[in-house]
Amino acid sequence: MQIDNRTLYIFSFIIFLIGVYGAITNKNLFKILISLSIMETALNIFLVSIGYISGSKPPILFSGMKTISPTNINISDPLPHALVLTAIVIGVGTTAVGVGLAIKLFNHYKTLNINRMGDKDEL
Amino acid sequence: MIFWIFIFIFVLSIILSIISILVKDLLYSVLSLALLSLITSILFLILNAPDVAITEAAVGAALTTVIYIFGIRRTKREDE
Amino acid sequence: MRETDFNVGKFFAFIFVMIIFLFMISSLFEEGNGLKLDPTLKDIKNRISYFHSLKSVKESERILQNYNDFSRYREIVDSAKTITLNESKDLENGSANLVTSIVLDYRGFDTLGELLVLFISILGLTIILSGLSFEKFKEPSFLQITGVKFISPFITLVAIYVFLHGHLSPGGGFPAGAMIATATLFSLIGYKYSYTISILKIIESKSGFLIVFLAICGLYFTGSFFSNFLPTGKVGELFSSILILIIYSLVGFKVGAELSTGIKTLYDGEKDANRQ
Repeated sequence: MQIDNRTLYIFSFIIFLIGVYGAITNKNLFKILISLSIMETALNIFLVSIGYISGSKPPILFSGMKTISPTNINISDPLPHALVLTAIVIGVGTTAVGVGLAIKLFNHYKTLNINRMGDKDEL
Repeated sequence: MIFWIFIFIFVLSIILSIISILVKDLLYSVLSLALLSLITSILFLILNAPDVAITEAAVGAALTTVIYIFGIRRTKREDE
Repeated sequence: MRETDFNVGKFFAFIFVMIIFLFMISSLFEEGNGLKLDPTLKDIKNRISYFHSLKSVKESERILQNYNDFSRYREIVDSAKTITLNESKDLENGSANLVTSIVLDYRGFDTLGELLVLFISILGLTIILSGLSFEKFKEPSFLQITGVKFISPFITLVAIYVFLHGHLSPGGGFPAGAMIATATLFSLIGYKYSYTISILKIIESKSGFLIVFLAICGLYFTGSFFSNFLPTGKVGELFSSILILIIYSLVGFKVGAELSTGIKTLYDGEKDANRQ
């Protein structure tokens, strides 16, 4: 039984919306960052599932698939893979910046809860 | 067979993402995020994207987790 | 009172998320506007990466320029040629991994911008954390030192294999950089002495300069940025696309140095990092 692209889209929407729910209900800075990471993972799944063609092979010439030609081309779309490949590595950089900001805020306010950060107003 | 693997991955990743936003201990939250990355890399492998799978396994399961754990170690482990 | 407010907020957040979910789902099943599921996209011949896959981008550009008409599309499709592993030679680029040929040849400018974004984010991390001094972690135990000495060279070896075979097998410079960063993280945890930021600075700046230099060489010799100007051999051999091999190695070093700098900054704090 083959899997449909629409099922994959709905799955990535569910994961993305779990991330949205976590980002708008949590008060902890690290929880918000983790929710953003979940949303990023869901977006990567969505982009890869756009390129997925059911019943095809990975876009690499290897010993199992020696030739591709206009009459015999049965591979998945390699373009979304290239985009996601760079997006994952950018995600690490942005995550590191977020963690650095959280550490800096904790050193100033002595808390990670965003509701209690305004208590010490005199800067 | 491949259909049931898909269903397994769907259910497990939804459970892991719900755990990682609801649990109060930040360390468990980060660890379930790392497991979500591993499951996602298996999904990428099934979706004919081995390049993305190897990148996700090397980055999401190792480096992101380590960065979060350093951050939690510098601040506070409990939520609230 | 506060407790009930909290629960009401969560309830409204749940309602909000469900409304967005219904909106997205309805856009999937709707006819007309929204995210359409075009059934013709099931065939890769109707996608743009068909020409990327068959390495016939320049040919199709030439045909389009001659006819100046997109109705000749079917002719362009049929003019694409066959690629066979270990037989085809002198193609536009000799990479057997089609994702690599897109990342470093057809969309190399994109990759350059991505490297710039990564550099800027790590720079922002070090600027944000400047002036903070962290407490030291504990001294490594005997088990940590032994395990790290055993496992760290193997991780580095796998990383070198992955970026040298980026055009033949899955992988490439980006996961190799992440693996190098993991190996340096292990050396931070395990060894008492470790690497310094200044070495990483040298590696990062030199490899970044060389990537831009090779891209400008492509501009000089062939007329387009990041274009392949070195000879390509048979598809599937190690030296089949020398330019991609060199650039992916440099990307691996650059990404590894940047991520290692970030991890070192988070581990030590900026004060220790500046002291070399």
